[in-house]
Amino acid sequence: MRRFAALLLAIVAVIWVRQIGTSPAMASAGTALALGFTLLGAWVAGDLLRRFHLPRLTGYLLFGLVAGPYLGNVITQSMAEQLQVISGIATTLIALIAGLSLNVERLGRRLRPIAWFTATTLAVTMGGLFALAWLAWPWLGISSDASGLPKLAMALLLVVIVMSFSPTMTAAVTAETGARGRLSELVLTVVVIADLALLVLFSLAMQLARATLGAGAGEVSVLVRFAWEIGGAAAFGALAGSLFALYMRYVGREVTLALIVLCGVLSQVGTLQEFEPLLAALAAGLVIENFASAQGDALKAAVQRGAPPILLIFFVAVGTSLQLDALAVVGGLAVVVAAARLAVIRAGVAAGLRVSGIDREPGRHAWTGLISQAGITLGFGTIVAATFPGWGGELQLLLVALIALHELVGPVAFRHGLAEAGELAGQAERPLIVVSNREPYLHSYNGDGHVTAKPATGGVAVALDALMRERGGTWIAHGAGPADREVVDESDKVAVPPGLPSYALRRLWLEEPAFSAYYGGFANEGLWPLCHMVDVRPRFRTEDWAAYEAINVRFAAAIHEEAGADVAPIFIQDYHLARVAPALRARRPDARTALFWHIPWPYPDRLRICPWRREILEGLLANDLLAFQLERDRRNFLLAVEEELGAEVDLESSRVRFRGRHSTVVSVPIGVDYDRIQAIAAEPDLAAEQGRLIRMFGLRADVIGVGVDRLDYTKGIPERLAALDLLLTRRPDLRGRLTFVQIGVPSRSELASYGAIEAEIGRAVDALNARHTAPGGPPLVRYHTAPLTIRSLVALYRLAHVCVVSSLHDGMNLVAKEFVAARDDEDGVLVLSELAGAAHELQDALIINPYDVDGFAGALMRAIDMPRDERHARMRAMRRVVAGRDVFRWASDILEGLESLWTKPLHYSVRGTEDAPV
Amino acid sequence: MMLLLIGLAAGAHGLGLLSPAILSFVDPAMPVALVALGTLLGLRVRIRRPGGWRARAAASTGALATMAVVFGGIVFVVPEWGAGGSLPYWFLPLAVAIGAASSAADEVLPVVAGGVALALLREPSPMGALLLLLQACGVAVVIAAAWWLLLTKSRSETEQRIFTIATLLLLGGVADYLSLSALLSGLVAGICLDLAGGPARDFVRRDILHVQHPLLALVLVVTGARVEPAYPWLGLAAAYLGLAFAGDAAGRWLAARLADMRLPAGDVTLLSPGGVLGIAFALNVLRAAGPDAAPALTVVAIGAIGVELIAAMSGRREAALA
Repeated sequence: MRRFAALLLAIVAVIWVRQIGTSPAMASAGTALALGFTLLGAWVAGDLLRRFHLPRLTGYLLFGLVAGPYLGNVITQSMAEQLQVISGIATTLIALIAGLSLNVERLGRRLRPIAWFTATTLAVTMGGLFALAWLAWPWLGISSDASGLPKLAMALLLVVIVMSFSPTMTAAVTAETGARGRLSELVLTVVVIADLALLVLFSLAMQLARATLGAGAGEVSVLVRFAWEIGGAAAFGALAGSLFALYMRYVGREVTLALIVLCGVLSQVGTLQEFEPLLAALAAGLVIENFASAQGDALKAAVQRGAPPILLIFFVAVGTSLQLDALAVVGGLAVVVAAARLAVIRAGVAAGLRVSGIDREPGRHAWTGLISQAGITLGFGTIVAATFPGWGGELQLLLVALIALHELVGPVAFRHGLAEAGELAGQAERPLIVVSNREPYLHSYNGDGHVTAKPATGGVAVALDALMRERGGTWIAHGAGPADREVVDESDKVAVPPGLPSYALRRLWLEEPAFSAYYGGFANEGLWPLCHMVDVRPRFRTEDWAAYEAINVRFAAAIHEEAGADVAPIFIQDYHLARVAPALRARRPDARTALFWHIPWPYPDRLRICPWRREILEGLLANDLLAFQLERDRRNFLLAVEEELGAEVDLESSRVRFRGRHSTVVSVPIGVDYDRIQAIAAEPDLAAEQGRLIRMFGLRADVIGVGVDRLDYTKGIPERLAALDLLLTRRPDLRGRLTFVQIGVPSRSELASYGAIEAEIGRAVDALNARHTAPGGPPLVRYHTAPLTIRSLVALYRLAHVCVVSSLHDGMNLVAKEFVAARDDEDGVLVLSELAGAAHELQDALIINPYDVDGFAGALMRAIDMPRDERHARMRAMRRVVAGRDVFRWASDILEGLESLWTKPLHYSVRGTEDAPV
Repeated sequence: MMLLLIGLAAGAHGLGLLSPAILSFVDPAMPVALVALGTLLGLRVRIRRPGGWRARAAASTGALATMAVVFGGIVFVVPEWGAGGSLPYWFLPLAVAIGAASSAADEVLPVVAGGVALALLREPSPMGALLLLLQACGVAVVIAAAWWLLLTKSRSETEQRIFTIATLLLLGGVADYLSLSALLSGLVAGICLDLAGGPARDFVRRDILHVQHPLLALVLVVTGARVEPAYPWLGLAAAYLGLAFAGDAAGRWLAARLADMRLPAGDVTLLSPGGVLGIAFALNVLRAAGPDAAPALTVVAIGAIGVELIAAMSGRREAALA
């Protein structure tokens, strides 16, 4: 309703302005008005049709038709003419987009079959159409009494022109729908090659017609002129593309303006209607994509941002230019000719598929992209009408009617074909393959000896599990549960979730000592401390690296087996699996993989500590999409690949080119399962759980603080305890009034550094309690080392006045977000380390530096004394952030980035300045 | 400055790359660029400045003083400038004076003054001009309301961008069609959006800032291309430069006396270096008033180049931007 109200207001404004009256100093006054109204009205029309499951672009076309000079005249004839000017630029932009999507390396292998397909299709269609035209000649209304050679010549011309296609429409539909895949590539290549061939045939037919009908004596051969102009257009386009690529590389400023200038220049190329500008722009796009790929990616991103309004205007301009009066005169005949054309095209495509050997799927939908006709057909008709004034005019009228029909029907049909072929952006999703070290369900024995399945805790596992339930597919992980082997089948798979299976869990059995060397050794004694700026030295051993490589290869082999013939997207998790992609790509070059690096990425100098850093970097770059939590991590990584590998990095488009491959590197902060936490928070019996926790922890104090961590040296727990110590020293009145609940779940205890931190924390807690516990009062710190379920955690968060996250370095830290999500009462204070990734988003928390004990203690004091209004305002602001980016959106953004055609710059703005590389 | 010089070099009096035919092709984009500038201005109007209303009033007075000095000076130096053509005798000096005042601390008053001037050009009678101005502002309000309605429930960034572009085109098209001030239309729309608040305001700001730079670059290059470097205009530009500095100094002195404080040099966060607004207004005048207003554009553009050169040499620009 709002949109219609807005459109109504816009109409009121336009009418009001027209009533006031114009006093144009320049002839072009009114262009901007026409454009603005067109954009708005067409978008609303497209939106309306979408609700009826019709394509948007039909809405654009119909809007142009209804509002245009032939019907509504809201867009007057002069405005429509000005739209055509913009349409010229749009044509070149569309062709540029098409050129940017044609990769010669990828196409090269298929060019021969496509050429055969095109030739066969054309031969069959033209043969069929010629036969029909010959037989039905008396009823065509074009010099019906012609016979012999003149009839032959006219029929040939008719057939060539009627068979012509519209590369512009094809490219426009592809661009507007965001389609990607073999069908869109096939159709675009076919129409360009076919139209080139038809240009040659047209000129030959014109020569024959002139010779037999005695017209145009003494003119330069049309063929020579065409060859000159077309060759020249392509060469000019290639030159323009090269110059533009150089400009992007060495200047790189005002890209949008330069693009408009490029399109403006290209649109003026040649005289043959739209074909020469189209060829020139296509050539420019081809050159940029294939010889200056980093610049091509940056240009694609710029075009992606600016293309939608241009495409919209293009389709509206097409709508306004449809000559309905022609349809009124020869509409019936045009429908018959169109039907005949469609029939022979379908027959031609079927024959073409058989001869060329192109896959029947999706080739059988190619006919849908061969319906549209536009400027080229019109151009041919204009030439014939000018050369043969009598019957040429009759032919032109028929062509105009045909074009009107095909411009209305063609885009809709092609879009349908793309949808059938599964190539539309945002189409029904394919099954996924998720790969992680940790499995989503662990099978173990309960007290009775029965096997039970326990779901993994943690936001990431929960989100990916939900995603897999929706998409289906396979999750590949290390089987670590005591009873895991009991439940799998002969291919080591089990259907999960238990009770309502919707995907398969394929387990890898990673035996000792390889597993310890890979997981405990390389991953957690090497990579983990390398990537975290804490006072623990990374340890790298050759045998650990060998095990890491070997196990990553095993994961890759498992993916290869599970993927089968499909091209399913593959989503790899975290630092344990950095070498999976190259091993997989050796088996399946066409695999589409994304890897999310959950932990921080070190700055280049620190990275050099790792002897196998280059192998790690190469492994990561073997992914199509690589995602980090923060912009800082992304930048550090890009610096590293540039310095260590000499990779070509384009910061603007986030693309890296290395050894002939492209990878997109983005930052996508992870979120929590916000809705689930809300649902738990709203449960009526949560209060009972809170009561249980109160009794369990003996919570009698006025003020309750909470910290929830894995026992890890990166979490800053000793620093937290030191701050608590200082707080109670300064505020002895808090003794007995404050209780801090520290949930500390042991993790990787077999590793020396972890064992040491666990011991240190235990000692610190004891000392703190000894110092600050009031006689007969509750201990200051309640230290609990068993994990809590998400339900208990939510209950605990809602009891707490203060939540403390004091990480010394953390990729994100989901506890901070979970606390915020749990507080639908908009109360509670979050004290958050600035060294945790979450601090970039949750700037309304009390931000502390855990190394500044004094400041830390001050913040705790402030949190305890904070007035209610301030607590509410801060929590409200943080909840907006957390709700806006939950874990499902994180997962779908990454997968969308992996599955979409275009480079999708996934930059998420967070408040505050971006920090320099660590 | 670079962009002005590039336009000058590429224009009809230079290499001829930007011929009148090509310039006429990009002309429809000019009102859109001006509306975008005006909208950004309107979004900032209610931002509190150091010194509060006193500083704002002082800035406006300073801008008025600048306008008066430049207008009086031009009329004194070239009393017959513009006379005999299709424009009233006061129009070109006023246009140039408004251009000079646009570099002052108050950006709003020159825009409003420019709107009034163009309305008077179209409707010589004060009442007629007022009615026309009110109607134009009314149309801008209606379009701003449509803009707000579209953006408040919009789903995607693509959609928001299309709505913003469409509305900018509508606003610019309206001003162009009526031969009135696109800057003023944008200002009114921006103020309405700021008052309405909400996510719509943020989306508009984001999208306009995204397209602002290329549009500004286009404005400056086109302006440079349209400059007619004839000796009379160069001479007038030199006089304009001197008057602009004098007017600026007078304005600052007056403002400082009124507000009892030193005025900041003007917040240039959102706009390109000082003088763009003046150039934008001069371009608006050219579109609205026709070729007879070309000398005003020349004078303002060359004056802006001169200001930039002098400021660069004296280091004043860095201090002003700091």
